[in-house]
Amino acid sequence: MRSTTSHAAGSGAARFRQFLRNYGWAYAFIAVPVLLFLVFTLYPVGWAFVISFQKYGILKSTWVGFDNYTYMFKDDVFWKSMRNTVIFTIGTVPVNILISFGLAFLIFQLKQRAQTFFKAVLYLPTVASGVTLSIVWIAIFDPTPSGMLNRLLIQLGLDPVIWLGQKSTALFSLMLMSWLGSHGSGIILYLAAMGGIPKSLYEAADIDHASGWKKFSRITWPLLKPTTLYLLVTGVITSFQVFISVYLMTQGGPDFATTTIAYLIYQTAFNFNQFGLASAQAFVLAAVIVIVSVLQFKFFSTDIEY
Amino acid sequence: MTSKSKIALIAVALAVLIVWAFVTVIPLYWMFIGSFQDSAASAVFKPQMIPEIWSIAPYERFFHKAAAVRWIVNSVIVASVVTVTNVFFASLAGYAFAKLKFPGSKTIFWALLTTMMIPAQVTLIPLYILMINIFQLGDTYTAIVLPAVVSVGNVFLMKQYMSTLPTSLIHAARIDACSEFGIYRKVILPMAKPGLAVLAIFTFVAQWNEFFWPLLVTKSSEMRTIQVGLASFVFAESTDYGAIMAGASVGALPMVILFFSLQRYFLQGITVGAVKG
Amino acid sequence: MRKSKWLVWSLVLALVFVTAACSKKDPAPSASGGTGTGGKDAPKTEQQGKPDTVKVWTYPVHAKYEDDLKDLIKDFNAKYPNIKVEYEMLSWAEGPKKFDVALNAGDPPDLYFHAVSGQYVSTGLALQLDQYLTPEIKGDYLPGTLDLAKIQGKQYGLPLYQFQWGWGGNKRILEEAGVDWKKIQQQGWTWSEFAEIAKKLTKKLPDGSMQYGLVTDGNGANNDFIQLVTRNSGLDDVVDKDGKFIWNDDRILDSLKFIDGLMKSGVMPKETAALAAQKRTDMFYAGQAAIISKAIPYYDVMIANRNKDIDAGKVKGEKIDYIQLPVPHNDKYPAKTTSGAEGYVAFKQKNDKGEEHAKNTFLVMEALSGAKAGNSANELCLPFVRQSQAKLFEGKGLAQPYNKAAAEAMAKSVAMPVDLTISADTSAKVKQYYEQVVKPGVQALFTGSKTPDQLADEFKSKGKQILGQ
Repeated sequence: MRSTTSHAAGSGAARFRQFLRNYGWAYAFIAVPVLLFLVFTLYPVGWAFVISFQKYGILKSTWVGFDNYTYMFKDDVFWKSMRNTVIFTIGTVPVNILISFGLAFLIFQLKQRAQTFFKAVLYLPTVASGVTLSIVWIAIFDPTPSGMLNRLLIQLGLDPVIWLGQKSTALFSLMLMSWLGSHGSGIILYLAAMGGIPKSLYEAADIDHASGWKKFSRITWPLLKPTTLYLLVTGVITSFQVFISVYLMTQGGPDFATTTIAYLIYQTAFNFNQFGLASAQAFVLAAVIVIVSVLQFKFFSTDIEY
Repeated sequence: MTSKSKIALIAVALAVLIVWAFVTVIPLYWMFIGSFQDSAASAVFKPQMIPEIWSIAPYERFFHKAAAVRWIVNSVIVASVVTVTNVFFASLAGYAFAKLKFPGSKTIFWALLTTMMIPAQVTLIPLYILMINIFQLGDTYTAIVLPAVVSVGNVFLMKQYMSTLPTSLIHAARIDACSEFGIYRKVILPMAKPGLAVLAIFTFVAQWNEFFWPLLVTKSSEMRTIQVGLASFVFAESTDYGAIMAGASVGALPMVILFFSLQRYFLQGITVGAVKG
Repeated sequence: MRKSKWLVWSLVLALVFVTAACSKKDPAPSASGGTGTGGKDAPKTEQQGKPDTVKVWTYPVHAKYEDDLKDLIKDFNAKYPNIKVEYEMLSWAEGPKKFDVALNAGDPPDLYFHAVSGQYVSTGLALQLDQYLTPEIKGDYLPGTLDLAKIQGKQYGLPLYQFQWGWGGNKRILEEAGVDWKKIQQQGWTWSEFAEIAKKLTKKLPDGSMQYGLVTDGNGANNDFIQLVTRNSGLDDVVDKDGKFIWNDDRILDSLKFIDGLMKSGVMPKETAALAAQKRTDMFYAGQAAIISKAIPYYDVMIANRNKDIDAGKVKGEKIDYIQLPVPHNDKYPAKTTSGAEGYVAFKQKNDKGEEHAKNTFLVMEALSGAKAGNSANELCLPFVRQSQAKLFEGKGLAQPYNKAAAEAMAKSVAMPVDLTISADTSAKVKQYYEQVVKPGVQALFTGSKTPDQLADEFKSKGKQILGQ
């Protein structure tokens, strides 16, 4: 037992002891992530922040003030890639969450064995990654009539599509890839959370003759909010930073149709050797993500106690 | 719910799930099937649905690389360590952020979260300088593992998960004069098993698929992980698709094994843990 | 429960194993990192000079290059047992990115396999070699070849081979259409001659698929195609050798109209903007592409190997005879072959290791570029850069005689890369211009969303904006 009231604190030392007794454990629990954060994140981020006001040179960098930032805001490629990134995010994150939730809900209705089977089948595709996955998807999106997806279209009586090679479908193709490939984790998380909802809550609702919808909106959905928030925030972060699929599949083309901010940052840094400008772009991107995340926390955060 | 509508729901669920499962599993299927088709001289990856000629030549070429087995062992080592450290540290921190009240908790959490939002492209170089030039850790497991010991994303996941655990049990334990670590060990851990299992499989898979950082900090073929190793089958004018798919298929095994050994925890409800705790 | 215990223990064991592995990290990298170097012998003999390690990052230059390299290092260590050569074989896919990070962190390897670049020089870390080049070494290089590894007159690299980019044809298809490819190989062809021929090469095949006159990888992975075309329209590059922007007149408009014509007439597939290099090769193998761009003399060997696989029953498909072709040129301007040199480039680190180390680096560099190293040029069917190499490999050529002759003819009209003479700053801007203006522009041309006139205007105005003229 301990007292959480901080009345009548005596000397400074005693107050510090009291503080440690109250909060010492909490700080110890977060010590390792915070330490790693200080060494492996704060230092690099600080470095990049300083560089964003410089023209980076390996031996000597020069200060340029806000030049990188003003250049960026006047650069139409920056705005094009911002636009693509936002479209990609809006087009994938909510859709993927809905798909994950829907599939998890359906799986949850089944018997244990069937649940295991579908969880495995829907999650395991995440084991294929990077080079492997891009090789497969490039074959799927083969633009000629002999391509995998195009053969399917032709069999359905449709015209073949130049998936990644025309402005109208390139970004959509990358979104399609995301829809079909990135909900394994979401399903697993939702299922774990659904499994965690106490049966007693539903039983109590049954006694009150609550409708199915009422049970969903009063019990299921609120209790899944922490999971939804997690998926939403991390989903937005990863899709705002979408890079690998662009890098491996389209190199931002055709004609900027799939250039995302993260890809532009990569190009600026490593193709044009302008680390200062790349850092400036990165911090603007980060600021946008922070704002979006704060809003998401506002709307989805609930302190659940039961 | 009436039994009739229950049956209808299950029928619909099965139909949707089967179709969806079929679609999502295709890339994986092609990876696997592609590993049995000898494509040494083919310019593009063109697997047949059912191969006309089955061949194990891709596997032979994959294992012919001196370090192929070592790559897999390296990946298992690195991913296992990262998984253990993440499960432990992220659950501790997640518990603290979710259930303990302490000054600065919100600020610290947001500071951590914000760093996730800076794209890795601009922090690569300072991190490289830190690891290779300052700490002199090039070509070691430590260099691969250290930045991944506990990820902010996982702390966030654990915070969200822990927040759904009933606070009443924690209060009860406090009254029983448990220390905070005692509460974590005796009350939280047993209750949180499903969450920890999920965290473990996610971390393992994510680390397994990590490509660029291991590439940067390793130099000898013996220190590479499987993902980095697979890239050595890409040549200037051709790519050995079969060998890549063979390597990826073999490399998928540890993840499949881990998934099935952990999956029974995924469904354990909290209540089960609570009774035990 | 037992299962989970087992799992936990195996994870803990893994952890212990790693800590053990980490604690002996100092010997570990040198033992494994040496990968077949002569380093192990080094401590045995005490010779002049302190022990030193030279780091080399290289690529599988040709299929058996790692064997070559081990051999060359062995020879070197017999002479200099105290200099350890530590090499790392990068993959073509991701190696350049790794090098970029290391370079920008101020920690590049001592030797890196690449073409010299103004951007390397501008980092201040490229090692200037003129003081180490002895008259014997200089004399061994064939005229003009060393110049390909100089930036603004100073030597930063030693070339291993001189590459050539052209187009490649399918002999059967060319002959079916009555094309005199031998004449083209020797004398070249103009755009209007090509347009005539290409029409005959484009047709629907009996199985319903198309046979295209020309197929290139238009997916935006590189700018090779537009460079090959413009170079044959009197434009050596976006800027001339003095760094002056020149893509602003009819020569660029002509080039764009030429490409547009090929797209409109169906000589090039409408999917061009989505074609990856591998897909282009695949279409060539399938007889769907009469001519492919870009193509290098090595394709002769690569395709001959595929033919062998077909004979052995390992691969299904039609055997192909490869024809090396020059790129056709604008009727008003002469033909130019895109060329350059690749080889080792020397670097020092931000944390400079001193003069002795720089000298040793050059010793290793020369050892990796000597007579025996000529095997790379030989394997790739490219002209040799050193007399000693040409002598050692005389009569061992792998390409068909007619393709060898074609490569020699192409070598006569080489366009010097402007990157060797322009400033690093301009070079970086040219790169940005290619990525942000040219690449998307050419893709817009392929997809038909911009006309040649619109694009030429855009090239001009953006050039003014980025390159300042």
